[in-house]
Amino acid sequence: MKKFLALILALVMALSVAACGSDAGSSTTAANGGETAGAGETVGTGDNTGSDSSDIYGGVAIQEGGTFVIGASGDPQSFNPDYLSDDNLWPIAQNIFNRLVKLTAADTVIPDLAESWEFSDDGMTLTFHLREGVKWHDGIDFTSADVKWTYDTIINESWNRSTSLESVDSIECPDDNTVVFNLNAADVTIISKLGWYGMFILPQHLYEGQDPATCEAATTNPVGTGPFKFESYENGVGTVLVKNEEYWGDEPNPDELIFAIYSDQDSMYQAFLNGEIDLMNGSLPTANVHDLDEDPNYHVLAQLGQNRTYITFNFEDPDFGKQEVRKAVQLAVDTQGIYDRVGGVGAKAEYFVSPVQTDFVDENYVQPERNVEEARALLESAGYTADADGFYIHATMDVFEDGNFANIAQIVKANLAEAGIDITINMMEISAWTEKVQQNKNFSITMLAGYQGPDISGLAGRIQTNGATNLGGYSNERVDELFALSNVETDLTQRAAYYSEIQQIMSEDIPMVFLLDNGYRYAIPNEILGSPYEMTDRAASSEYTYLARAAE
Amino acid sequence: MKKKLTAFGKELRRNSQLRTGLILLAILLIGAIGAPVFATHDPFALYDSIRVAPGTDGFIFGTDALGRDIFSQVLYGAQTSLKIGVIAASISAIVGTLIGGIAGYFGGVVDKVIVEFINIFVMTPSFFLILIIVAIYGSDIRYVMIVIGLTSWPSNARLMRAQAISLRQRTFIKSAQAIGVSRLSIMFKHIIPNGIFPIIANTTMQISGAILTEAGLSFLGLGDPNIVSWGQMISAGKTYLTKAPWISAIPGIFVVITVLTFFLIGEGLNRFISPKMENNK
Amino acid sequence: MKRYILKRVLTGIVIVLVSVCINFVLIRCAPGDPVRILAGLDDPNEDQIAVLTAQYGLDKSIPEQFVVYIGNVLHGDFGFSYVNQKQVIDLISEKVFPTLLLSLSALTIAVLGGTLLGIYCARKNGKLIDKLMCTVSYVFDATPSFWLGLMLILIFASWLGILPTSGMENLRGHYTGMRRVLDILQHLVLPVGTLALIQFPYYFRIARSSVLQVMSEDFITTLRATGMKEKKIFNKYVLRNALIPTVTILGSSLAFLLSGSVYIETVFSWPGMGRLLFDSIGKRDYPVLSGIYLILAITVAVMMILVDVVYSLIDPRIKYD
Repeated sequence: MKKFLALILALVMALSVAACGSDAGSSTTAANGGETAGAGETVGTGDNTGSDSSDIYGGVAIQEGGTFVIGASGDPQSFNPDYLSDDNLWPIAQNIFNRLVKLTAADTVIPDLAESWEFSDDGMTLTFHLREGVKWHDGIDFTSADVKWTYDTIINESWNRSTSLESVDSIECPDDNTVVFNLNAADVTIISKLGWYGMFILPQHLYEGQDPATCEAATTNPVGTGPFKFESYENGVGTVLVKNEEYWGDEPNPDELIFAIYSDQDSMYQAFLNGEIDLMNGSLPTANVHDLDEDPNYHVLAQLGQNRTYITFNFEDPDFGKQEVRKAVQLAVDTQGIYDRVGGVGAKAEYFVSPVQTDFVDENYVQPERNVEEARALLESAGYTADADGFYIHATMDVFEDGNFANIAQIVKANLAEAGIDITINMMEISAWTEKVQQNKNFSITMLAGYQGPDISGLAGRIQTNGATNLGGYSNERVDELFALSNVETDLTQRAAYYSEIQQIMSEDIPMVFLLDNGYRYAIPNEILGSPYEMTDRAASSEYTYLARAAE
Repeated sequence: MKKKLTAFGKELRRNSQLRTGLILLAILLIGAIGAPVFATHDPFALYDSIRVAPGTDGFIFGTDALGRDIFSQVLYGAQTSLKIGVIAASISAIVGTLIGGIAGYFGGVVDKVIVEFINIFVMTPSFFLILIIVAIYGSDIRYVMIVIGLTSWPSNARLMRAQAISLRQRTFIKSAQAIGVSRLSIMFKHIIPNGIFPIIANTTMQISGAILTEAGLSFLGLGDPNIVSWGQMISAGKTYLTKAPWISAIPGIFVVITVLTFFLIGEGLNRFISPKMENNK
Repeated sequence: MKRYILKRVLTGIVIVLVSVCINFVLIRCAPGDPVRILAGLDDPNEDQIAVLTAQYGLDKSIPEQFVVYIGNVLHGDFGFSYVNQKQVIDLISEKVFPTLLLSLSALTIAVLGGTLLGIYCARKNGKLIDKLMCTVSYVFDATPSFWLGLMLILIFASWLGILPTSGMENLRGHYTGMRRVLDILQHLVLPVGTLALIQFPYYFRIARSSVLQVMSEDFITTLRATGMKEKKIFNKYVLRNALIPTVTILGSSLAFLLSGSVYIETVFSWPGMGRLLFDSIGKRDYPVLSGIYLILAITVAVMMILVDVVYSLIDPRIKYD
């Protein structure tokens, strides 16, 4: 799930939507190519594509239609996008299915099947107004009953993201185009969650009473409402989608979309350079992240993610339970070196919250510059003496195999060795790591990264007492209290003040040492237009409706 | 003893495989043992020259993605490869000799049971077993050596069993039995020492196999990150194949040379044992 | 003979069972939980984990699971892949073809090429070409397949740009019929070339040494003394006898090739069994791991038995007829 980009603006979006009713919806409708939503949909979009295409593509003429090959990283588990956590289906699902709202590559939430929505004054009821005239790929009408059935099933059968719907009490369908969510607590973050993972609307008429993973709709014949229809899938080779001629939204430009599977990033990248694929779904491989910067045939888009790689400590550990030792680690780690050596993508880790959270970053609290001497002095003052090899502490760092972790672990090992901390790297598979570190808490020091929700409050999961990813058992009453206060605070300035204090405490307690702010770089061949990385006002993060080749 | 040495000297002049192999081995040993002396840099240290080509900034073989000196890593990697090869193959030799010796010398039911036991191991797809064990239970270099050793002993056992069967018919064994020397003592004093030669040759070959297996596991990401290994170097360089091909290419060449060395020695020894069979493998 | 075969088959079955049992226990006792991976590791949904654990029968004890598994296998049910959400047997049958295509093509080239070269070099024993080929064969025998694969990609795909880097076919082309066959053949060149280069030394040396060995046998000398033409002796007596070892090792090399496919499939993104196995280890897809292992164990056992039978059929006295 590392690919998921931060939903920075989601909260702001949701708040503004709540305040202005359907305004947000209609403004996006305009962006979608006309105010003519309704019965005349198909005709309307047909007209729009012609007149609007110069707008969409910045005045560049395009070739209509064509086949586009997208690099995909593995086989989907099934074609049910809501049942399991399935990173390989995620990009494909966005082209076959729709959600109520969708998340763009710029981490904004825009309308999808829901044209508009509003919260009741007490925030306990959320009403969605659905698009009219939407049909499933098999020709059956899409209605609000499909929405209710999908979310009821996710909740009742504990499908993968049932946790995202914890605030939903019940769902009602007053008419075919209206869905009402009755909430058990005010929850402004639900909008962004509905635009994310595992929230695609499924056809009730094909799924009801069937096995969620092995029925026809989940395997050989997935049916959605999205811009592309499923054509075929071959294990280990790829998935083929074809244009949905009846699509309710903007007419998809590609006639055909192929997700070709590459078992590793390196071979996908080679195939991309050789022109065997048109676009990689996702970032350039870390090793090649700057290769195409100067290449006149490509343009490269950079993005900083809300995804930080950090070291975390077991607070029960006799060594790393000591603040001085954690401080020594912080002083010994060369964050600039990590940024430089793992490819110069993202940003050097400096602050105690993600730099993407610009409203909340307090620049008074930054990780100190590297100082090996000071680190050694700290260890000596804490009562450690160096052994014959010059080491104060010997420790094992448990690391799982994931992207740049192996390289970062090597750098950390080399950095800490200079400060007299001897690290043995225990490289594990993620499943073994989960059991040892996450479940059994049997570790001294480990590495972690990842995205944890759009809102700054995601930090709570990592450092508040008993947080889901607070692996080391760090606990500070004041921090818990500040999270509680900020979660009910609507005033941004006051909320930021609470987070300032959290950052101050983090800088003193050092529950984690941040190593790198991860970023992404997307390479797009010059002749390819309309990638989701550029269509952030109208396309979902991996939706290829607008993909086109420039006219020759 | 002196006679044997002269015979060996004669063999060396005649047996080009053995000669080449031993010369290469000497070079490898000098490189591996002398690594701390010859290394121009600390193999784990991160230098500011990142991914520079061979010969740049005083890095003879260039540097890797993190800025580590490839030349020094190659030298220390030789230690790893030799250690893994020798230890894994020794485990295989010891286990194989004991099991094969017991089966062949004791015979009867013991032999039948052991032969079926050997068959189980021969029929097990050992590579998959190694892969599963290392992937699941951890890539610590000690496990890797033990697992390789414990999955490759059957060929030694078969060789030793055949040797023991033929040796036990010989008069000196029979006379030792007649004067009441214990069976175990005969096995360790006479059977094994007299039948060991083919096992030495086979073990030399297995050193090659173990080095290749470790390199392969490292390539699949199952190497021990706390040591320098050629397999891991190849694996790490894979991502930079087009931009910095030397990162993968150079350690690969050394794997080939090292494996070749033990191969040649093994073949040479085989030819020494059974001169009639030219290249009998 | 019949009794011998029957005995071999029976022991074969026992061996496969024991080996599958060991494998089953090894995999199931390993740390890590497949259901946790399905449910996502970042923000685990404990409710779904509980539901799936019960659904896949992973809440039962390992002996119970083993009994259930063996029972199912005897009914032809190899289980359900958690990760791929489909029957293991369907999954494996999809992957078997690419792997066999790769392995068998490479094996054919290696055996034919290696044997012919071996025979040729045996006749030129001691000449320059013989010495050269011997050296080349040693070098390729010592080369790790994955490294050779990388170097070939570097040369032929990246530098020369004449062959595709990886994958099995070009989906964009929508090739059908002959054009598709050609496309797959083009993708086959590098992986098959790599495997064949790694394999040929084995057959080269066997062919070469057995030809040399047979030529030095007494009966050949006798034949020579009778004044028979050298060419006739070679074609009629030497060749036939010298090829026996090659034939008998073919079986065991197929199993070896399947193991080696993990590397080649990784390097070339080839959609085969080796890659499936490797991915399944990481995701703890127990049924797939057990299924592949079972099939491999059976294949190896069958091959070994066949080799034994073939070996006993080819009477050593064949030399003298």
